[in-house]
Amino acid sequence: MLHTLAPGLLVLVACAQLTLVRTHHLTPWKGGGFGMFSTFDSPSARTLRLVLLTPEGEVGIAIPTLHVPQKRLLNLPNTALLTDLAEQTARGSWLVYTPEQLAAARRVLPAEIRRQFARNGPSPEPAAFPQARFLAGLEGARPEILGVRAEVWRLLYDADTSQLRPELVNTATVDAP
Amino acid sequence: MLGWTDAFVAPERRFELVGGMTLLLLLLHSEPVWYLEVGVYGLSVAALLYRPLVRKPALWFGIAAFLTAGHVSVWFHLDNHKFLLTYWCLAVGLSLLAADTTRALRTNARLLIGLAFLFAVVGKLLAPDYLSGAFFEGLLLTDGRFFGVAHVFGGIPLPDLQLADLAREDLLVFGDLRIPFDLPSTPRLTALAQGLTWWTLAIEAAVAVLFLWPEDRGPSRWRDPALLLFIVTTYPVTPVIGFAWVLAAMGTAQSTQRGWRYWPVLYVAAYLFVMLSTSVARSGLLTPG
Repeated sequence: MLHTLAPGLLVLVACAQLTLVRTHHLTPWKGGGFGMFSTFDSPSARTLRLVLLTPEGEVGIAIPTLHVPQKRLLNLPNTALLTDLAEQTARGSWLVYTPEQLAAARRVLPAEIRRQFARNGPSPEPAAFPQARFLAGLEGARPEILGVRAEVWRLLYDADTSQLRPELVNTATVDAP
Repeated sequence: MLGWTDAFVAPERRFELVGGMTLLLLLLHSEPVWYLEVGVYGLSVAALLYRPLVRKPALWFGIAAFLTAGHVSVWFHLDNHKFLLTYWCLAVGLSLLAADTTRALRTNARLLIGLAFLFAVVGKLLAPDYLSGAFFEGLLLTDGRFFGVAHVFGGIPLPDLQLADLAREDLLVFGDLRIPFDLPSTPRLTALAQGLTWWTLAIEAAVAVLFLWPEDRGPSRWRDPALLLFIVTTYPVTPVIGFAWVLAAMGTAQSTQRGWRYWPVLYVAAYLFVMLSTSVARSGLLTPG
């Protein structure tokens, strides 16, 4: 019996992985279930979004400050972890810049945002930055934060239209403290 | 006097051969977690330098314990072959405690391979986008490792693929996720994706059935060619050397002396082939354009 312990463990872990894929949004590629190369829903097709909820509307956070393990969050985005991240974000200080401000201040923008501008042009939406990383020379607005929404998305490939189609995996919203 | 191939495949040398293949794999493709590396590298180097250690169960239990400790904290982003390697090291240790070590090792290797492929097939059948061919088509268009294939066999210009890849990265980080994102597919690529979809499912299902089939009965004699065919057709294109090597080591361990006796030589050749083909692919020498 002891000599088939290893195959038994494989079956146990793989069944647990299949369950977690269906109940906790675990990516099928990970977790010991041998689901790699079975679906487009791989870790590299997932992304995290944080959105500030303000009286003026929603503002996407350009550079999230993460105090949770990002790989864990993307591969296994359970509601508790997303809620934790949203609560941490709601406690932070944020400055919001308009698309016009960002376009005018490309020189002082972080490299990753400049890269986006170079390829796609400026975003038509306002963007929030952590106060600790404020953009020199820019007067950002300090909106009243009503709450924060944390979202994990995945891209799926639609072969009929040859398009990547985003799909929300899981989300959590918290009120500001 | 035996020729070198006969000496190489001699049953009494099989355990050392499998042990050596596994130790090399542990040294070159372990998860980069420092306490895992300290333990696994230390024990693997010791066993390579002093080969009698390979037959000590404590060595393999120690390696399995370090692998488990290192993998637990990162299980949610660990590649599947790292799980398989952990089970395999545990199985080697347990086989050394058995009355018939060779038989126990062979059974463990056979079951681990068969079960891994069975779950791989189940995963593909349960996935919403596999059987339609959408997964492989999307993969060929978005994974840089397959751009050469998409270009040569799918007829898509490399710059188009590279541009789409950069734009996709931006979409994930900054873009408006409410808007679908176009990729440059072609009918040829769609046909290629369909072919890859059904070939992969067929070869994986074949390996699962053949390795889970009772030993020395019916189609089980086709195990070795099926697994070798999978290794040499999959890993040069999908360069996950660690997975190829753990399969080759387990394949060597389960190969019996009945029928053709030189399968272990081919497993070792496949072990080397995957490593060398990956190096050539990484060199860029084969990249079109």
